[in-house]
Amino acid sequence: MTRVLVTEGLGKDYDETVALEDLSVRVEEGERVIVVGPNGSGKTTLLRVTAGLLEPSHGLVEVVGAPAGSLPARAATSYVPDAPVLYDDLSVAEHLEYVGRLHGTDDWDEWGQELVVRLGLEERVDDLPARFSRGLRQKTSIALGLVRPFSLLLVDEPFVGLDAGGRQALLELLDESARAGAAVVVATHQLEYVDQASRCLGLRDGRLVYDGPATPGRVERLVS
Amino acid sequence: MSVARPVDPSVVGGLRRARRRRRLAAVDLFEALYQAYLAALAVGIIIALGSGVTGDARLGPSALAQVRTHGAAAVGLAVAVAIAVALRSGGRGGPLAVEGPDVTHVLLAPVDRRAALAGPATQQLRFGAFAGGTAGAVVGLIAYRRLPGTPGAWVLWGALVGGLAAVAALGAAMGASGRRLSRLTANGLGLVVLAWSAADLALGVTSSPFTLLGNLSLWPLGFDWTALGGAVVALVLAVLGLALVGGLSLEAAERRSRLVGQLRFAATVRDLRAVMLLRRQLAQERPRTRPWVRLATRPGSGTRLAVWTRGWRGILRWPARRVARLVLLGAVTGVSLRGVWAGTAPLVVVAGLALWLAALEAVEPLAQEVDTADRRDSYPRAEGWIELRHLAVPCVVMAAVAVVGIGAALPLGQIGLVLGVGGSTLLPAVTCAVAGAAVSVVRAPPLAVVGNNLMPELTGLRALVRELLPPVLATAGLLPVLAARAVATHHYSPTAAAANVAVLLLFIPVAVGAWVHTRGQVAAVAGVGRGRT
Repeated sequence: MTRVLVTEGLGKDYDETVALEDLSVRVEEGERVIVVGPNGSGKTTLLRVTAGLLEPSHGLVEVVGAPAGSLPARAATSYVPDAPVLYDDLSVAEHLEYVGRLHGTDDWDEWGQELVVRLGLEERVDDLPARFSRGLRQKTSIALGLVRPFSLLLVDEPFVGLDAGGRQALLELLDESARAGAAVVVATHQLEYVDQASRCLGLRDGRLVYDGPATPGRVERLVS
Repeated sequence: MSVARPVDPSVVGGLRRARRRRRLAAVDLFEALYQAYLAALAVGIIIALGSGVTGDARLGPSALAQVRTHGAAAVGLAVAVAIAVALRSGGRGGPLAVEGPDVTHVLLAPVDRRAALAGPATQQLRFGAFAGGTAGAVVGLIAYRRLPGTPGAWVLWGALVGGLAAVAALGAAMGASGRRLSRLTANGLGLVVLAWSAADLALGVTSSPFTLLGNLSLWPLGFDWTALGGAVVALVLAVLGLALVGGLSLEAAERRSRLVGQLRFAATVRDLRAVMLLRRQLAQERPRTRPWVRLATRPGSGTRLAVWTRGWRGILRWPARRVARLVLLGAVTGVSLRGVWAGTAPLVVVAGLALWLAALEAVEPLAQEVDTADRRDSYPRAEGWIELRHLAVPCVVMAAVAVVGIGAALPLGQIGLVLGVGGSTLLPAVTCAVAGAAVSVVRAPPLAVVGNNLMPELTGLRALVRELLPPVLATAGLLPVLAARAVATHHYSPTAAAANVAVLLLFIPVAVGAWVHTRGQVAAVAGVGRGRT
C-alpha cells in the first residue's frame, strides 16, 4: 500500500492559540478516515494544512511524498472546504469545466454531467450558484472536488445542508473514490460516515487523542 | 491512484480572458462613461484646490535654490514613504487580493503559481502606474504654477515619476509577500528605506535611488542623466515583484481575498465603522490578550463607574501599533497647527482630520457598545445613559493625544506661545474631536437611513452633510488657533483670544452629548425604532 498522507510532529499556531500540536499520522491509499472532535479541536486546520492553504508552524506534511502545497501535492489533493467557495459569475457547468481544465482532465464534461445528475443538480446546471441555497452550493462544491483526479480527498463537514438524497449520493461517491484507490479523509461532527469509515482520528485541543477503528460509540464520545 | 496533470499556465490565462470578456459584455456603457465623468470632475476639483493651497506666486531666487537643493530628496522621501507602506503591506501578504474562488480552485490546482498570478499582478502594476501617473501629473501641474518651466514638461515628468513610484512600491510589496518576509523584516526594511531618504534630505546629498527618482521629477529645472538610475531601480523592483509573486502565502491570500471584498463593499456604502474593523483585520491588529495594566474593581461597586471601567479595560488592551498610530496622529496635528500659525491656514483641515481619526480609535468602547446593540438594549438603562458615559474615557485619551501634539509643536515655535495657545485650544480640540467621532460611530450606516421622508432633491446634499459633519466638528475644535493667529498681528494676546473662542466652541460637545443622551428617547417617541438611528 502506498502512503498518501504523512504528517510528522505537525503543529499550527495562531499567535497564542495552538490549533494543532505534534500530530503524526499516516494515511494509506484507499483508506477511509473520519476525523472527529469537538468545536475548535483542529479538524479544519488539519485539512487546510494538508491542502496547502495553511502553512504548518512546526513539523512536516507530505502528500504522495511531496510537501503539502507543492505542485505534485496539489495535483494529488482535492479539498472540499466546509463553506463552499464559488465564483459569482460562473454557472455550475462552467465551474466544472474551469476546475476540470485547470487539473488537466479530459473527461470533465462526461464525468461532470454524471456528478450533477447523481447530486441532483441537473436542473440547475446552467444557473449561477451564487443564487443557490446552502445545500445546492454544497452540492456544487462537492461536484467540483470530485470532477478532477486525486489521490487524497479531503472533505470538511460535507453533510451540512444536504438533503437525504444528497447525503446518500455523497456517501456513494466517497465510497467509489476509496475503492478507486484514493485516500478519503472526512472531518465531520455528524455520524453519517462512520459506517463507511475504516479508521477514526479523534482530535481534542489540537492533539490526537484517538487513532483506531471507527465505531459509532467511540465516535460519539469523541465528538461530545 | 489518480493524479491531476500539471497544467499549461496558458489555460488559466485563456479561462480568465473568457471571464473578463463576459464581464465586459455586461458593463453598461453609459454607466462607465458617467463614472469616467465623475473621476474627471474629482481630478479637476483636486487640481483647483491644490492650486489654491500652493498659491500662484512664482518662487523667489532663494526659495528656488532651496527647491533645487532639497526638492529631489523631498520627493524621494515621499516615494520612500510609499515603498515603506508597500513593504508593510507585503509583510501581511499584500498587495494582491485575488478572488476567494481563485485561491481554492486556481492556486490549489497543479498550475505554476507565478504564471497563474502574473495576470492579476500585471493588472495591478498597470493600474498602479496609471493612478500614480495621474497623481504625478496633477502634482506637476500644481508645481508648474510656482516653478519655472513649461506645463508640458512638469506634467510629463510628474506623471513619469508618479507612475514609476507606484510600480516600484507595488513591486516591492509583491517581492516582500512572494519572499514571505515576516512583518518585522518588512517593516525593518521599510524603515531603512525611509531613514536613507530622510538622511539624503537632511544632509542635502543624493545617495538613495529614490532621491535619484526625485531628481527625475525636477528635470524641468535642470537635466541630470544620473536621475535615470532611479527609474531603473523602480523598474527592477517591479520586475522583481512579478518574478517573486508566485511565492505568495495562500494563508494570507485567502484572508486578504475575504477581507478586501468586504472592505470594498463597506467603503462603497460608506460604512466607516465596518471599514475600520475590516482594516484592522487586514492588518491583523488584534486586542492584546493581556492588558497593559489589569484593572481591578471592588465587589459591590454596582453600576457606578461600570461604563468608565469597561472603557479603560478596552483601551488597556490596545496593541502597541494603535498606541503608536495615535502618537503619530497627535504629532501630525501639532506640526500641522504650527504650519497654520506660519501662514498655511488650510493645514487646519489636516490637523482636524488627524484628530478625528485619532478620536475614532479612542471611542472604540462606545463603538463596541453600538456594534452589540442587542446586548446594550438588554441592560436596565437607557442606551443614551450608557453611550454618554462612554464618552468620558475617549476624552482622557484624546487629551493625551493633544499633549503629544503640543509637544510636537514645541520645538517649532516659541515655548510660551505654543503652551498658551495649545493649552487654551486643548479642551475644545479634545471634546470636539470626540464629538465628531461619536457622531460617526453612533448614527446609522448610510444604507439604514435610506427611505426617509426627505425631498428627493435634497438627498445628495444630505449625504454630503452627513459625510462631512464629523470631520468638520473635529476641525471646529481647532478654531482657537486661527483666532489666536488673527489677533497676533494686531498685538493682542493670542492666548486670551484662543481661550475666548474655546469657551464659545464648547457648545459643540454639549449639543452632541445631549443628542447622544436623548436620541433613543426621541426615536422611541417618533416611532422610528431604536439602535443606530
